[in-house]
Amino acid sequence: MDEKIKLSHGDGGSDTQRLIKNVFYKYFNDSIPNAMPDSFVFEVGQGKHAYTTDSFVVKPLFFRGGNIGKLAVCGTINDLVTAGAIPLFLSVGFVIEEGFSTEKLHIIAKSMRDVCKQTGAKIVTGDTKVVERGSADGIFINTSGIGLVSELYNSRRAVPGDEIIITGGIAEHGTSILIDRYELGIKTELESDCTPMCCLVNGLGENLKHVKQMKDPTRGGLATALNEIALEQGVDVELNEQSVPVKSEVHGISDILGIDPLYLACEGRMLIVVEKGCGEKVLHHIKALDYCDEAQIIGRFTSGHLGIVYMKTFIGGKSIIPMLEGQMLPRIC
Amino acid sequence: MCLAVPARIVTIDEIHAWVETMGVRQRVNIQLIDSPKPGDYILVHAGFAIEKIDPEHFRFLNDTLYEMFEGTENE
Amino acid sequence: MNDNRIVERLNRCFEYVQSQDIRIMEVCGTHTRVISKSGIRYLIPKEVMLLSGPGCPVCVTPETYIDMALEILNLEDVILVTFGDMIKVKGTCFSLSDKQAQGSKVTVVYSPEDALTIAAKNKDKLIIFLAVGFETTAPLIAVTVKLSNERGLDNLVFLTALKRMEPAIRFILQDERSKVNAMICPGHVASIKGADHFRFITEEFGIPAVVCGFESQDIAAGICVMLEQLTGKGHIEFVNLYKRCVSFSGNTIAQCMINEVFAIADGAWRGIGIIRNSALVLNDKYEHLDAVKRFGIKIERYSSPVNCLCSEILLGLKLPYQCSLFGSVCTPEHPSGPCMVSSEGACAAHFRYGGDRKNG
Repeated sequence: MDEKIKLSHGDGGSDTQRLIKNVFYKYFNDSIPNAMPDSFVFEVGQGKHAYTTDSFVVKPLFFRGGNIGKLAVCGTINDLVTAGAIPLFLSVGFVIEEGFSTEKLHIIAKSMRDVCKQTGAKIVTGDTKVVERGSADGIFINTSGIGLVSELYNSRRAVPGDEIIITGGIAEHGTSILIDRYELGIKTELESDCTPMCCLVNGLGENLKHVKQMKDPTRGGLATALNEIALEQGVDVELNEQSVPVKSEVHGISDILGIDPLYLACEGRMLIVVEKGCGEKVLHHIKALDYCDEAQIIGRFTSGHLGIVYMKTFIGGKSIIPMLEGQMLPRIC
Repeated sequence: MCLAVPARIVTIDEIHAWVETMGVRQRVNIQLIDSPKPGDYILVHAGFAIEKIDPEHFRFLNDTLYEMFEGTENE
Repeated sequence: MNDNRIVERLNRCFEYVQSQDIRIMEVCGTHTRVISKSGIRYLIPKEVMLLSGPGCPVCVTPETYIDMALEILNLEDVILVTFGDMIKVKGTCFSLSDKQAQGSKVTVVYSPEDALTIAAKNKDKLIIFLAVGFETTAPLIAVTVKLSNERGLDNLVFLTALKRMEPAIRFILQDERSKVNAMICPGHVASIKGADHFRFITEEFGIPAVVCGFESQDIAAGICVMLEQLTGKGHIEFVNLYKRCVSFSGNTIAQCMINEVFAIADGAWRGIGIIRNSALVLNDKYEHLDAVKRFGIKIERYSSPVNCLCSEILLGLKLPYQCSLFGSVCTPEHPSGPCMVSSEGACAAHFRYGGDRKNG
């Protein structure tokens, strides 16, 4: 029988110990065979380090192509990647609602372990709290991570002419979540793109020198991420509609629901700003990396200094792409 | 005002049908359509098939547009 | 993609467009959105203005309707079911999402049929479906009403704000101040009602009218045809460029369904006021499913918001940027008027996708 999480699993007593032993040690013991300490001790060593944290409250907890656990690990790893860092150590904090299924907890922990194995990152410390029924929605997860920044990566300002690459099809995570959230009775092969993007730091080698900036287009999608970059840099961005990779299923679902894929989240894609003239060369190397075969140069920085994003459309027109306002909901009109 | 997408009927189940648009299948109500059959092209609005699409005119949507458009020239 | 043929011919028409202003109105929110997003305004000269008429059911649904929905949510054991479009529309003071934040049960659905499922699953609760839309959506609501009746789901009621397109178009073209030179007809209303339903625009008002599809090429082609007619390169006539989805007489099953379930009544349009015979309400046979009658709600008289130019914008007399509220007080996040409410409203589309100032 599927045991349910009780408040006593969070009170620090024997139930807590059992939960940690049976679930978390089972999956997270690669680095620390016997116990997960309250504090993990390590030497900082040479070089620059990146440190980040993120909390995950996704609904539904299980979606096509992943679950909240996979997302929590990928999200933090990808945040480290944006700094040009290889992930080393992660912490994980669970807030679990009373009555949550232990079986589900196993699935979540296992997929966190799988991503770690794949990337070499290690979960080295953690915490579990259980809250009364109704105080949380199933499970919330916080992760933080420390990574070692590649010496080849040197983040710097964008100038007109710099090129922008996206590493794959957009909106696949956001679209998957929408289908499951609204129980739309839609059948499709489409899955969330939820993936760790470490390959960009590991795999680009010397080409990382040409990269000026990286950003993962999560909440608010490509449009919002581009707007953030343009604003931050104070340089206009021109997006080329025709070259933005969008899977036909994503097109289909966003047409059906009346939602713009430019605003739907990616969880395994990276926006990469490459210095002028190096776009094609870097793109060639990116395409050879895992999960990046659909990569495209989608735009460039232009001479405008308003920090706005506009799109050259299929038909040859021009339209401004603002940030996301409000929630995306299925519409009829 | 009204968002609608073209789709092809795959299977029929009484008043509903599974229809496909760009690799996506959805279940829609087909009560507003006259004698729907698998293979028919329809227009879907808010979970309902609202009109058959003339297969002659379907193909790639633009072909028909170009033909009609060019038909209006020099009239 | 071979869009060049259309764009090239469009460019050729501009040579004939002298200095006179040409105002082309579209009365469909989805057209508004496509025009903005595809950047078509960037391709046409400033003399040609693309105006957005009252074609978005969400935008034209009056505040009093939202207020009624909010009032019903005060009852116990109620689930309000709605299309996503209505969630952030403000009534006099609050929106459904405000009410949701206070704990009211508001469920967003994609298909009206989902309301039947929700009603069957929650027999102990009262389900209210917000039935908004034009003639494209009305047949779907009619089917849902009939299915609900057949299945004896007496816990499902409908709060209707269904609108008819034709009286609204007449209302605009009959206005003496109207400066509309040509009309892009709503493609999906035409799918139901037939292309012929809009022929009166050319026949009675003598202006070009084209039934258009929803790709950017469809609209560019429509604009091109109308400009040629207006500049003497073609005679003025009614054209259907959306034959792939629109027949001469429309979907007769859907039309029968509308007639079987609804009766015609006067309707209140947000920002405009009352337009005669412009609403569809449940007829005598189905009035027991009408939320207003079930709850004996008093319908308040409609009046539009102060300083808001939506009425003039919807009528094609003003452009979004000419409104003092636009972009400052009134934004998509905090919409004051109907044109900013829906993402396809004239102001919201303009705010989102920009466009030439002159073109609104």
